[in-house]
Amino acid sequence: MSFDVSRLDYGLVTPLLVLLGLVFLAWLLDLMLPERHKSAIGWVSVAGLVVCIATAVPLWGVRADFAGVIRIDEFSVFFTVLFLLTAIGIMLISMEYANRFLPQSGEYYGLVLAGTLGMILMGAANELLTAYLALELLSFSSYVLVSYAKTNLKSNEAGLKYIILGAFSSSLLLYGISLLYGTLGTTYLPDIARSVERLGVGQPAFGVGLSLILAGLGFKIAAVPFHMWTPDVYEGAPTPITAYLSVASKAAGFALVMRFLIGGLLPLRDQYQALFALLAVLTMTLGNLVAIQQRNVKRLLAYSSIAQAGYVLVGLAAITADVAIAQQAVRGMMLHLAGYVFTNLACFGAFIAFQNLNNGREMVADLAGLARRAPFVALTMMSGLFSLAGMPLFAGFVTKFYLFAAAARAELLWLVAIAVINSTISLYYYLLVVYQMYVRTPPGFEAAELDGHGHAVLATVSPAPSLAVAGAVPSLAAAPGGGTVSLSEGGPGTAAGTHNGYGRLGPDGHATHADAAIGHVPADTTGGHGLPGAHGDLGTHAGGPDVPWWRRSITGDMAPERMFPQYRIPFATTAGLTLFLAGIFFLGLWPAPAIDVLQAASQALFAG
Amino acid sequence: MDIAWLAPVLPAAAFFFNVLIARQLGRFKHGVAAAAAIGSIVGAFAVFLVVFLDAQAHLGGPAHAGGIKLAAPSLQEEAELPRRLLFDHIPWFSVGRWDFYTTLSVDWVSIMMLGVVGFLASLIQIYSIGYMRGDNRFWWFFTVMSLFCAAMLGLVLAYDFLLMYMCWELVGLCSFLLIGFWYQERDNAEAAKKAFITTRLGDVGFFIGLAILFLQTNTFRMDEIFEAIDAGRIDPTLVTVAGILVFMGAIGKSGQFPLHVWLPDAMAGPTPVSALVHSATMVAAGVYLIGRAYPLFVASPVTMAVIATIGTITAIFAATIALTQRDIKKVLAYSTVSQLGYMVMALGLGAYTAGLFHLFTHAFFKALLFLGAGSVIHSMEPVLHGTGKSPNDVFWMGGLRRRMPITFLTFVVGSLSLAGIFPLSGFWSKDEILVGALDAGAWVPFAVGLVTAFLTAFYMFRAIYLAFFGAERWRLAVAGSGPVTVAHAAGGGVIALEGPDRDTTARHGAATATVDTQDVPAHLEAGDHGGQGADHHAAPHESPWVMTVPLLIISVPAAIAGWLNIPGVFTAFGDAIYYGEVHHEGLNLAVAAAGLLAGVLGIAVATIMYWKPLLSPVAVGASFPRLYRLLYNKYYFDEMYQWVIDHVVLGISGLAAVFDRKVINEGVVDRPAMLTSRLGYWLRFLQTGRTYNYAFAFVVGILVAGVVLAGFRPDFLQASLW
Repeated sequence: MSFDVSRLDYGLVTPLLVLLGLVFLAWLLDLMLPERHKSAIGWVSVAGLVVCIATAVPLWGVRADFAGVIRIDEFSVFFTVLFLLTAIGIMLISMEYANRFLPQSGEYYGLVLAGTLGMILMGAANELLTAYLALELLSFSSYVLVSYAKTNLKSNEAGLKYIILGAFSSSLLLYGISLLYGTLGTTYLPDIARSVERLGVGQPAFGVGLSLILAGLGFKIAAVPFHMWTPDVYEGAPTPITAYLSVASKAAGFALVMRFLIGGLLPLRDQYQALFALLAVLTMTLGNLVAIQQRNVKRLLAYSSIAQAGYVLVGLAAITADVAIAQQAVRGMMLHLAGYVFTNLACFGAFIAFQNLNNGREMVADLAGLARRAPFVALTMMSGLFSLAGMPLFAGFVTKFYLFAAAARAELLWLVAIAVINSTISLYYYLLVVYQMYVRTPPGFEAAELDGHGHAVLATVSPAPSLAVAGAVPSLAAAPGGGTVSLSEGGPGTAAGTHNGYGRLGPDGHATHADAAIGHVPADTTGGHGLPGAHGDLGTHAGGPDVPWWRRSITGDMAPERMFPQYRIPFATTAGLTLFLAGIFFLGLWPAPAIDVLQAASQALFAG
Repeated sequence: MDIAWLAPVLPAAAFFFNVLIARQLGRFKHGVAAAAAIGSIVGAFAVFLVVFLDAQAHLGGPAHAGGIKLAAPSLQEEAELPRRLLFDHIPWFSVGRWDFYTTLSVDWVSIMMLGVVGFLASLIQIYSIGYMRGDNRFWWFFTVMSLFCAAMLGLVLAYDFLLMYMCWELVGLCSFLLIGFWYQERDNAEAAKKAFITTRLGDVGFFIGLAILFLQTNTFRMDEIFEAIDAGRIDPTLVTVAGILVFMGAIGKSGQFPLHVWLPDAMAGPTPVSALVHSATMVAAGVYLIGRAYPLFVASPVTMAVIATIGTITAIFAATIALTQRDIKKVLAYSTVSQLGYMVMALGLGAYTAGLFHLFTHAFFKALLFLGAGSVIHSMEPVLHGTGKSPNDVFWMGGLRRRMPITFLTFVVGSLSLAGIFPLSGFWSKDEILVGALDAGAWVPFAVGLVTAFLTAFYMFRAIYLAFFGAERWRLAVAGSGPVTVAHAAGGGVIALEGPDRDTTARHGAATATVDTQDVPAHLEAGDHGGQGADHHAAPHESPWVMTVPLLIISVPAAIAGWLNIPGVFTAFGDAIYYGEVHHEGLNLAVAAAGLLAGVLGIAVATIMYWKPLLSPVAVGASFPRLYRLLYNKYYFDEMYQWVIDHVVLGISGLAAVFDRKVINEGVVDRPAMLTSRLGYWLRFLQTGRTYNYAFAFVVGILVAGVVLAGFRPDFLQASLW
């Protein structure tokens, strides 16, 4: 444990040092840049993070201890790169959001970077106090970030809850560490492993300490019953931070858990297998069941992320005496975490893009018709949701399959069965979101019809809202020109009832005098179905017969890019979404290279 | 020999070219597609010629004085030559531990079919240029025809059951697409559906049979399967079962009793399709399958008996229906069914060469007949347009021989050949089947064959007399549709040339009499087209050369194809195509005379009934009203099936639907879904929003974790208690 500072190999921690420099650079830039140029910090951060990755990749294959507290091996390099990529993604999807919703956004980027530093350290820590400090670095950045929307009460509430419960859990964790130190006399993971093997676990203090540590870590990974903070905090936090917490913070928690359990407590695997099986069942079942009832996208994704943590816990339960199976389980967990990072970022990235354009709306029903107005965003979100549900072609299928296969090999078929049933349940609420995006008509367009050129002709809002009752009469919106009419069902609260005239969209696809309708038509939260419309002949209206088939919508009735005014998506968002989509499909269609990489990482973990 | 695979590949390439490229060419697509289709099938025919000439030197078979071998190897060499060359090195796909290769076989049977398909498809597609002119899906017709040719040629060459089954289903698909080519009319769409579903019933059996064979031998290759059967490696019972199941495929495809119902309806397709797909080639695939998989069937006497029985029943059963049909294509369709039954019967009786020989000759004269019928319909269509009368109805034709002499002539040649009149091809092949039946000691099939020959001659000449002779009855139809009703002249628009009901015919006696005396009321004579209603109607006229030239060309093999196997004189066909030992039926003069007599008798009866009215068809029909109705309604088979579908199939599906709705949907899906949703609803209340509740959950969690961790080590708990 003793070391000479002058003889440390700083080359091993280059990425950390570069990142540390980047954190201070970001804060420095914040002091110099005017408010309207703050997003430049985001771009600088992205560039710096790329440099970080470039310094981290050469460390692949190195297996060394730094100062006796940080372990550099394939496992930590894998997570380093994963967290850096995550941070890049968060930066890309944050910039527009921060500009719109977060005043004084300068510190924001630095805090995200600092949290990332903490996460990387969590994956690399080989010693419990270092791990604790890394976790606190992440936590404190997160506390600030969650309550960053200072004027938003929900954000404040979320921050307060998070810091109270965070402090609570961190004190439990610290207490657990001290108990462990008290019984074993060391906090260095390899030493712990040796002591446990030699002494066994006769000491009650050890058991209590272990429980406390697991509770503290369970807080980070949001395992039931330590998950309670998640929905409230996720809902209140600025959405990019929700993404950050749900993805990176959780993955970092798992990295630490894996390091701790396998690096330090592998001899005890028979004891904790049952505990993790139980936690897995509770976590995924509760997450999925409650997610069904959610109508708020952020809460829905919060419960979904709880469920996803449950799937990863299945992998922990599969760590058995058979090293081959245990390594496969570890690979499965890492693979699933990697896929989950891209997948969930895709969902959140798309949702943030939506929020940027819709004044921060966050109900599921608000997404209605998104595919018509922002096809790429909707596609990204759909891919993410399908991947979360574990549909083939997408990352989620491959990663879950690999993970559950490990569990099956560990003879935990009952657990796999529960996991599969849970996946099925999850598909339901994911599809609800897809339904809104793809099947429903965008709000304000319920009574829109098509003119001869394939543009949506928008109904304007009636000056007499008392006519809403008339919405039940479809003829109100019947087209004089014999065009296609899309009607909503016309229940109370739907927009159709208030339309009695027609506005025309300009040829550039922007509503000329109908913008008011988009802004003010209340979202249909009563569950009224947007009918596809009274189309006489599919295809003939798909932008006219001169629209080639490959540009026609798969829904057959209209080509979205022609029909409705398109949202403009900023470049940073598009770049981020593309990155996430690439990750989803790369893992979903060609997972072999990733599994090869994980081979080395899992071996390193067991060797460490 | 090595280029045989090109035969199916060329039309397949044309198909893909048409679908991917030609269809993008706007108004040129029709011409380009037709050119590609015809070019490719002519190319395939050229491939056949090359293979055919090449095969002389490479395929063995006993030397015979009558052989047509152009470059005959010496006797010594020839005995050592293989019967067939297999090309099986093209990897197809792998499943698990099985690798599948496509196996193609070049032997005399497949070469014969290559020639038949290539020849007829080329001419029929040229004919189609005229027939389909002006159709707005002209290009699609040729595209599907190309796909059909590719599949059919692939089927012919295939020597593993898997490839054969794939091509088998592909020709079925093309048949479906072509029958429903004019799907805008509901009847045509229904006919296409009926054909597809009915043949599928047989195909299911076929597939199960293949599955049995595959499970027994782990291969789809025919040679290996037959070897296993010969060596007795498969349980004889299973061979019988598999044989009958495979034969079910042939029953469906070749329109054998009781799955024959789709074939007459299939005439809803364009007539060239009827000529190529539904008479000459695709429906013959069933017979071809029997010939191909002959060792499988021969191995089991039971299977052979089943085949012979089905064939015999079909032959006479369909011939009797053809007696009363009014639609010229339906007459031909039932004739096809009947003749296919003939072939199946022959194969079932062991007369391998005879069965395939009849398949060979029948392809030509039946294609010729269909093309002739198409020519007639093509010219009747504009005449009867708008009258509500079907241009296929022979009752509305009459007197066409003067107006369409080429069509008439070729049609008569085809009919004589089909009727088995010496020396046309039908005579030779039919004779051989009858001799084969006699040799097998099968008296019933022999008698049935004779009776069928009689019936065949009768219904063919009935159609000829009605269509080409007598009064020009289409004038009545044209007149009847006009604003001035000529009910008194035309019998209210109903022509009762024959029928089961004496009263009805009596009521329209005047009209019937008028028609039967070959006279048309004076004001309907040529030059005066029956008043206002007919002014815009042209008279029927001969079809364009693009249709008549193929007719003339095909009439040559239709007449003389039978000369390829004249007992004792020239037996090239039998030398090349045989099963086991070469087996030439001697010329049995008695049988030949009997067969010829049956044909002549049939023609004679038709003559006295429909040409010289010595015997009134009305009277004959009215004498046996029930029989007439039974035949006219095709033994009520469609009604029977409809009843079964309505009451049994739909009954079962109704029960299944109730089960699905009540048990599956409500019980297994909705209930758990509701329960899940409800659980989520209740669990939601755990989320109170109060931070101290959350912290309490922590504590519970820690306690549970401690207990679980301890629960597996009692000593841990003990130690903590102490």
